[in-house]
Amino acid sequence: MIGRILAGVVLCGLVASASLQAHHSLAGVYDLKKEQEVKGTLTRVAFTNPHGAMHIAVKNQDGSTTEWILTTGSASTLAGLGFGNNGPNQVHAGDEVAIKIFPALSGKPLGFIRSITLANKKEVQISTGSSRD
Amino acid sequence: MTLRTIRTSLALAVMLTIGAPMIASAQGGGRGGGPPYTPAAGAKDLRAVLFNWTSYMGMLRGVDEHELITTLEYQGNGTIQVDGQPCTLKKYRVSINYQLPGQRTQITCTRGGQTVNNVEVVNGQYAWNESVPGAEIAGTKGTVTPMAAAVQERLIRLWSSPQGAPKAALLGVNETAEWGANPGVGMQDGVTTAGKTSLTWEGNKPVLTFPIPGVPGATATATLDAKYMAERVVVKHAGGTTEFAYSNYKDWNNKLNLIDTMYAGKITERRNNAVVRDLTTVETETGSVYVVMPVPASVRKAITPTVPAPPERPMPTQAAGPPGPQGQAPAAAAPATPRRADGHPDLTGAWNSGGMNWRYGNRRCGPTQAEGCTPAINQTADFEFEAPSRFGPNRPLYKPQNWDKVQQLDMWTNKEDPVMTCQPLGNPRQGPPRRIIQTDNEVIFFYGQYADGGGGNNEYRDIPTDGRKHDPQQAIESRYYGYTVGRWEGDTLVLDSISFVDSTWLARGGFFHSDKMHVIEKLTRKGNEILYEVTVEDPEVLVEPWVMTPKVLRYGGAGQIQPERNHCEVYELNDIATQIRH
Repeated sequence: MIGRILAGVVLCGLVASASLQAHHSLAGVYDLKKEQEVKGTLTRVAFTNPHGAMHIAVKNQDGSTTEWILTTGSASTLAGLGFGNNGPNQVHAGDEVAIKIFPALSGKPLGFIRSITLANKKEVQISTGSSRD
Repeated sequence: MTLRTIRTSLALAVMLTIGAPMIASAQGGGRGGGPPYTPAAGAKDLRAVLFNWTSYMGMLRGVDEHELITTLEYQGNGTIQVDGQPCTLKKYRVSINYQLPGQRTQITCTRGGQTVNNVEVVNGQYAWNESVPGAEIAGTKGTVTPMAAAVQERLIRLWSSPQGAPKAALLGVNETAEWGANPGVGMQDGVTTAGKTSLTWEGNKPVLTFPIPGVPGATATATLDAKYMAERVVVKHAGGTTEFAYSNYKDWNNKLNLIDTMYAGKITERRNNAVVRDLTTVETETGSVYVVMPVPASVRKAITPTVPAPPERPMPTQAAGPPGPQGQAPAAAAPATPRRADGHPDLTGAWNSGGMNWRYGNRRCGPTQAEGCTPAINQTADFEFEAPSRFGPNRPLYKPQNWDKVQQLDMWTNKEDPVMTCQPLGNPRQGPPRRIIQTDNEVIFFYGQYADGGGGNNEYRDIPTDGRKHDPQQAIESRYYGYTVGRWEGDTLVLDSISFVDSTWLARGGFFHSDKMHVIEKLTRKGNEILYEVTVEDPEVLVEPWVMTPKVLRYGGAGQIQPERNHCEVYELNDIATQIRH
C-alpha cells in the first residue's frame, strides 16, 4: 500500500512540476510540440524548490561553446525520482550527459527537461511530454 | 536528508496541498482514471449531443472535462441597425460574464457622417445604457439610462450566443447543477428530453429546444452543424422571432493565447426576418479574464425585477479531508473544542483546507483542437480556466478605471504575476495557515508551497494576540503579509493587517491591490474545524470590501517540522513568448 501511495505521489509530483508548481505556464515559454536533445558537460546543477535547473555546455560545430539553461521540476519531485546530489541518480557538474528538452519558443538556449541520459547511459524520464506518463 | 525523509515530506506536502482526489487516485479508487464520460460512437441521445456541443466548442477543461468557460471578450466589425438605419461599426466590444449572467456591449458606429456611441449593459434582470463603461460606479463620471424594456432582448442575445446557447441548454437540464459540471455526468443514456431541454434530429443535424434563462416564455431552438456547433438559434418570444445565424467557427483568440476555444466568425442577428446586427469577428479572449457589470444604484431604483433570480449553484469544492492524523475516521460525535488555560480556543496544530473538486493534469485532446495537440499542452493551457480565483463567481469588485488593467495583468500573468519573480504570495493570497502554534500572547503561522493553485513558499507570520493596537512607527514599514495585530472576540481570533507592499496580488487573475489595503482575518475553532474568513478592504482600487469565500480548515494532527524557505530562481523571465497563463 505504501508503495502504491508513493507511486501515486510521484505521479502527482510530476503533474505538479509541470502545472501547479511551475512558475510559468510551460506553454508560455516552451514549445511543447518539439523535442530536442542537447549533449555536453554539466556546468551547474541546482536542485532547488520550487524548480531546479541544470546548466550544460554544448560544443557547437564551429568549435565554440554555448551554455544552455535547462529548467526542471522541484527538488522534491526530483528527489522522488532519485535525483539529487546524493541518491541513486546522482548528477554533478562535470558529468557528460544527454538531455531531451522542450526548447524555448524564443529560440534562446533554454529548455524544459523531459529526460536525462546520465553518464552511465541510464535514461531517466523526468517530465510529462506525452500522454499520461 | 535521507531519501526516505524526503519522500515522507513530499508525501505530506502533496497530501496537504493537492488533496484528497490525488490520494484517492493513488489508491486506485475514487476519481482516478480517465475522463468521466465519453459518448458512444454515433450516439444520438441528448446526453451525447450536449457533451459533444461543449466538447467541439472547446469548453471542457481539466482532466474531468468540466465546462469552465466563465467570461468572454469579443471584438467585431460590420453593421448594426440604429433606429432603423444601418450604422457601420468602428468599435464593437462585447464583454460577457456567463456566471452573473451579464453582458456589456460597447458600440461606436457611423451613419450618414454621424458617430453613434452607446454602451449596452444587462446584468440579471437589470438593463441600462452607459455613456462610458462603469458610469456612476464609485464616482465614475458619465450617465446611466435604465433600460427596463431591453432586459429580455439582451438576455436573449447573451443566451443565444455561440457559447451562451449550449450553456442555456445545460441550464434547461438542471439549473442548480454545480458550477462547471461535466455535461455528460448525471445524465441518462438514451433519453431525448431532460428537464426543459429536448432534442430532435433533422436529417443528420441535432436540433435542441430549451428555455432562455431569465426570460419567461422565451424558447430557443438551436440547430447544430456537423461539428456540433450552433449554426442557427431561433428564439420565439412574445409573438416575435429573433434568429441568430453563426458560421466560420475557429479559435479567434489573439495569436499569443490560442487555447482551442471556438467561436463563430460570422454572426447575423435577424428580428422578424430583418437583419439587425451583422458581425464579423476580429478577436476573442476566452481565457476567463475579469468581466464585471455592477448595477448602478439609479438602475436598481428605477427597475423592479418581476422575474426571480436564478437559484444558487454550488461551487465544485471539496471538503478538507478527514480530520485527525493519518486520516483517521471522524469521531461519532463532534469533539469538544480544545481550550488553553486562558480559556481561548487552542488553534495549535496542522490544518488542511479543501480545494476545487477537480483533477489537474493531462486532459485528452478534444475533437476540434489544433494539430499537434498533446495532453501536456492541455495541462498548461487549461489553467486559465481551472485557477480557482478565475473560475469562481466571487471576485473582488474593482473600480471601473481598473477593469481593463486587471484584464491586461491577467493576460500577461506570465510576466506580471509577482510569483514569477519569486516574491512571497503575501496575505491574503497565501491562504490559510498550514500549521499554527499558539502561546499565551501570540500565534505563529506556518505556510507552505502550492498555495493558490501553485506558488508560495515556506513562510511564517508571528502575530501578537494581546489586543495591542498598531504602532504608528512600525506601521511605516511595508510588508508582504502586512503588519498584523490580533485580538480575541469571544472564541474568534481577529487579525488586523495594514502596511502592505503594493506588489502582491490578492489571487491569480490580475487581482492587484494598493498599499492602502486592510485585511481582516477571522479564525473560529469549533471542534476539529476552524472557520477561516477574510475580508479585504482597499478603497483605493475596490468599489467595496471583498469578502472572500470562507474556508473550513480541518485539524490534521500536531504538524511537522517546518521546512526551510525555498531557494527560488527564475530563468525564463525574458523568454515569455505567449499569453498562455498558469
